[in-house]
Amino acid sequence: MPDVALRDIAVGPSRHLVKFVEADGALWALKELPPRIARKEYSVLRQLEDLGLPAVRPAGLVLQPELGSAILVTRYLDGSWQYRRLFMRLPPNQPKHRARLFDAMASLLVELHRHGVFWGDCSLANTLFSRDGQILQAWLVDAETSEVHPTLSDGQRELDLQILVENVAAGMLDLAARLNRPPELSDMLIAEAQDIQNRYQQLWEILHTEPVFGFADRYRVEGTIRQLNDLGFAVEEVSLQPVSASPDKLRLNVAVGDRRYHAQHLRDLTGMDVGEGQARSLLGDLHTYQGQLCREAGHDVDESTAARLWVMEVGEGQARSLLGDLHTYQGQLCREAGHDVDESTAARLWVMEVATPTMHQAHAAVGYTGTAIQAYCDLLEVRWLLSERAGHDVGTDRALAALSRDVIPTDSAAKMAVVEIPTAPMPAIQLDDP
Amino acid sequence: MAEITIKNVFKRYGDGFPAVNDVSLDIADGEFMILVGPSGCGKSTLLRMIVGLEDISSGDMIIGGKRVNDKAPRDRNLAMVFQNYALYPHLSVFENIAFPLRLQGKHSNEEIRKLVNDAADTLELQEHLERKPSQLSGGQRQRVAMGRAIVRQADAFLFDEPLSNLDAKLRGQMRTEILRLQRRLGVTTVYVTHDQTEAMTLGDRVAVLKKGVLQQVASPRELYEQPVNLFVAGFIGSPPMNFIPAVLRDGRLELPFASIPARPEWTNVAGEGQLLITGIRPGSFEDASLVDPGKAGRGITFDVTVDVTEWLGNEQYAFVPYEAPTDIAAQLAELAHELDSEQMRTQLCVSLDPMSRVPAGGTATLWLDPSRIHLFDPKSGENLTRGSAMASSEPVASSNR
Repeated sequence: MPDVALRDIAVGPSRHLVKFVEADGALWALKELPPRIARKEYSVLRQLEDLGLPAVRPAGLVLQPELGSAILVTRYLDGSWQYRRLFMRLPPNQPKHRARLFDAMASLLVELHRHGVFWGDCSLANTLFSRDGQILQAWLVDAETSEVHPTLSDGQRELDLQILVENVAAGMLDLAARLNRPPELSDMLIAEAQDIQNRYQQLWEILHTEPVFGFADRYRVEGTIRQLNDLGFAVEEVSLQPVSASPDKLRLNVAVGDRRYHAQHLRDLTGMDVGEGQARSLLGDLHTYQGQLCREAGHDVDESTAARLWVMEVGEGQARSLLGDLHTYQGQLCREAGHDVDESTAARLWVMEVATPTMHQAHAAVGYTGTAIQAYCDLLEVRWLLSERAGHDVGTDRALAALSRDVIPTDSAAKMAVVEIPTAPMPAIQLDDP
Repeated sequence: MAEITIKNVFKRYGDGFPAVNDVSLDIADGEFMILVGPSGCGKSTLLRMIVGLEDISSGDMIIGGKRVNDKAPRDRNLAMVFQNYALYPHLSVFENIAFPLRLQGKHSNEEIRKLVNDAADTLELQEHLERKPSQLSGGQRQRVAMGRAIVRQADAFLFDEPLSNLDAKLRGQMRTEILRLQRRLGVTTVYVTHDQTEAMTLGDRVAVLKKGVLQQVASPRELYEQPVNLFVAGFIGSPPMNFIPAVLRDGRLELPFASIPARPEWTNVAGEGQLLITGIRPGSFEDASLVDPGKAGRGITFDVTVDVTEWLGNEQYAFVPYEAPTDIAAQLAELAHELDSEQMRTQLCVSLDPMSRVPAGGTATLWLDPSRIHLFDPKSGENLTRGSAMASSEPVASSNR
């Protein structure tokens, strides 16, 4: 191990203190544990990595037999932060931001459970968050008590959920006490924490429902798939089984895949690799743009063509002429081939022309904190909120100005950019729980 | 408060493998029951079936007279202690204990105050309720976590290896706290561990499991002195019992290092020329020169060559290698594997008085009381002399309930 400076950061109540190390140009989290637990946690984290689940990635295990302990090394999750950081930087009582946080936790638990992972100690302190468009992505960072099974029983899921609710409620009450919030807030925090169970149940049911319908109502298959896709889930396999009791009825069974439906679609169209929540925002923008193109062109423009143009649109003054060129080219192609312009050209153009340049402007507007993609998603949200308030489209420039001066609605997802402001310089931490 | 009855319970996984294989166990109201065994023995699975985390493939789980097989965990009114022992630094000790009740929403503020105060009395935390966790000692903080389980007024407490990720010092403290708490509350407790010190010190009774099959349920003392088979004999006790091949011949028990006149309880259960495995605890030997003259006559003496000695201040061990027939050596290696043990099974471990001057590499004269010898059937592993070895003439630990 290289000779590096260690710094203790009190990040919450924990059984084992985590230390952070900067080495080889990267940040690493180190946790000292009894060897048996360390081996177990390392193995669980490896399995979570194999399953592609949102969890901190294990980097190694250092056994120290002479000390009777071991050190678990994990990669620091870039762009992630603790819940405390968000609420300590926001004005008091932010139910919408809390709702985003709890949605992320419920989604994480559903993702773990449907892959057979029992967490055992899900709490705010054991979770990291990262921004993903207008939503948050939650990451498991402590697997000391976790187990991976082929499937989980209802009892295991129920207990895990109960632990989550208790821990989240206590974590929020603790933070409220730390920030001297009025005690009247407690009942609201408890009710919100309990509501995580409903968020979890709703999502679980959508993913596991096996609706039965008549043979003539097969169109409902599409409705079910669309609902899953809208939530971001890819559908891997669909099967229809006749119900033995009534042969004219069918039972639908859907094998649900990763929650990257929009991300995968955007990547196919443009090559951009972003989070699911970001992809949803960007696809929304792309579709608006596609509508605009259709109006201008006077005929249908397919999604992939629009995608390429979207990327180009806000380019350095060449956008319009390129667009013109492309329209001419597209018309030519259409006449010659009798069909629309090919997909890949259009998508590449969209990336170059619309997304990339505006993305850089948006990133500059937020002082280059966070990622350019996220800054662009924030810009889109701000533009939409301001337009809604104004009753007409305020345009990108006004939205950029609002974003750069931070005069945006307090409960907007864009406001969560406060977590991305760098922490240095920072006052010394008071160790109130050594 | 409730008794827990486990009747012919099986847990089979998809591949048909029985993780828990026909286990029946009665846990009395107020009893402290330990489930112990090496990893993979099914102890945690059994606990999870009691709590409702694992479905039961067949058999009955009865808690407080009611069959709970199909009941959700929250409807079983059990408390998993230390499932969650994070303390919240900005909440008072009172609130740290009270918050599970606040979440349940079933109790008035008045009731919560009473439940928390009662728990604080039991845990001797009364004076600390308004303080923050950082103002408490390590042991007191652990008691706050126990308080959370107490205020739920559960019918039984369940512990799943609660101390396994604590350091040795805290583990010792916690063991005492758990025992004290259980005695005070008299609540039925099931405690899973792989640590035999916890098993022996905490339990009224200990259930030893191997590959999903219950081997023996008995008081710690009885397990130590009257193990039913090689597995239990090898699992309970540290350092573990010595297993030595022997043959009954011409009225004598022939061991690799000694020949002992046969006792009636041996010839009653084993025939002439039969190959046996003898089990002798390290503490059954003594340095012949230091044996109390009052009992010296009860034993036999023999000379061995000591390979290594380990002097630990308050105790001393000497190791004596011996030759074992190949088939017995293979069987002992298999047993060591089943026990998760790295102990070399073809050397004798002898516990000696720390004052003993037995030289490493030299010859020592050892004393052994033959009535402390167990004989096991090498095929079945069954203890042939159970109930007849000297252990039975000593007072067996009464249940300390």
